[in-house]
Amino acid sequence: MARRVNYTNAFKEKFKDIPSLLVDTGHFLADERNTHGELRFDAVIRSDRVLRAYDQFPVDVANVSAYDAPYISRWSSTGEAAGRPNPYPMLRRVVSANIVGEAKSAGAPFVVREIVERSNARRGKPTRVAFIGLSSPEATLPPGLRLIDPVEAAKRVVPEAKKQADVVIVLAHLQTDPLVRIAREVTGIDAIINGSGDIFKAPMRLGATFVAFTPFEMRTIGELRFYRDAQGRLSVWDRYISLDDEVGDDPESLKVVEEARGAETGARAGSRQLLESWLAQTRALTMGLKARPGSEQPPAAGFVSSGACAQCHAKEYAVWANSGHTRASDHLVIKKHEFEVSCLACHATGLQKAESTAPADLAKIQNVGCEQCHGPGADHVARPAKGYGRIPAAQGLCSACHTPQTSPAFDLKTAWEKIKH
Amino acid sequence: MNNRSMVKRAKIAALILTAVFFGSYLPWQETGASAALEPEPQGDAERRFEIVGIGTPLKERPGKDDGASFVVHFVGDVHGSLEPCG
Repeated sequence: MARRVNYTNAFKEKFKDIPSLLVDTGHFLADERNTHGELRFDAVIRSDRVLRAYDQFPVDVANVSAYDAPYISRWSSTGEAAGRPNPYPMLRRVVSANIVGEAKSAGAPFVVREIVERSNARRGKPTRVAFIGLSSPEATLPPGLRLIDPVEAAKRVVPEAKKQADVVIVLAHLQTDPLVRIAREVTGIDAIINGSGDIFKAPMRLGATFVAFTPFEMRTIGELRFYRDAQGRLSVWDRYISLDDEVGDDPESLKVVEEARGAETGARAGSRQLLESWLAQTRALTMGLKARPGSEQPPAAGFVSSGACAQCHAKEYAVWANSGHTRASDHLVIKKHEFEVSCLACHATGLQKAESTAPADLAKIQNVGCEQCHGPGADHVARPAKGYGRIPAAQGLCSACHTPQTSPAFDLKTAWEKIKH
Repeated sequence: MNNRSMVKRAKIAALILTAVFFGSYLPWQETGASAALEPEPQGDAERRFEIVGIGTPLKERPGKDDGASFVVHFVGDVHGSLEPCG
């Protein structure tokens, strides 16, 4: 990004009177998923930083591809971040005409930007440029969003955009077939810019439509130049500028890039350290051992471990001991690069707050023990009494962790026969 | 003399036939179905795109003022990375 900023600054410095816009054709956010298909915590951090950078060094419009939709849908009215103030104005400059949902989360079908062209053909009247977003189904969309056929969406939206704009540009992240069909079948498009995934692909005309291809990964920046003839007719020509070492880095944006890198590596290191220290701190209680004198253990908040329950409830303990619940924390070690505190809600016992990393709030015991469902057992061990730990709707507890997303193969009836006690 | 004029006439006829044949063949080829992303013929008036690369100083990379009315710069596929090369 620092090189991109350096080049666009150089362009504006040289051509002070040529208005320019900067657009992104899609897949600008991270899309790495965890085992349960949710965005990984480091992908969220990277995407946060991209949006911050796209605001600080403005990108005028960005197309929402299927890869971008999961992060963007977090900020919808039903998403993970729902209710929180949206800190990224860039999210109001994203477009998609064919990723739709109940929660209006993927951006408007198109946006219009006004510029004052340099040529006299329009006599100083602002030119309205519409940018339409279109995407192919290249990645799984989150619940609540669906992707409609991009060709049908283009046929519907382009005439609408044409009513509100003088120039219509499609920002696309499309596979070949819909791209060709749109270029040939939909009239009124002045240019299509398509993110094709190739390092470089030469532009072409398909039917009457000019099609340019976005170079991959910002190694090169594309530049569409629009010209007006004396009759006011528009024509377009393109250049591609390599963003190699010789371009150099804009110092201010380089700082932003370095901070983003630091935030990402810091978060990963923090996650690893948190998991390691949690495993160390919960080892003794998990095994039913007393903590060694001098070792720092977080308060157990009344938890005693399943081993304590076994003293009186041997039959029930045996049922539990034969279940996968006894190995629930193993997955945290196997998938340690995905670890977040919220994992402990279902892969451990006694988590107090899913967002907190304070030792007192973390889960007390490894694996899913008796007390995860029956509650802390210290009082009951000290003063045994009938009625402790009864769960009126026991089967309902299972679905809190065994959701269709986390346990797609889970069958409650079958599982209940194995675990009931 | 008769032989020479006959040969000359034959040559002219052959030339005319050849011109008629190719003249009717070529337009049909241009309107035939082409592969999905085959570049279509560009007129002489259209310039080919320009690539500006290594060896050109930053100040020269924006190129010449060729009368452009406005410009759209475009990037993409950075997949969550601000680093060079994604």
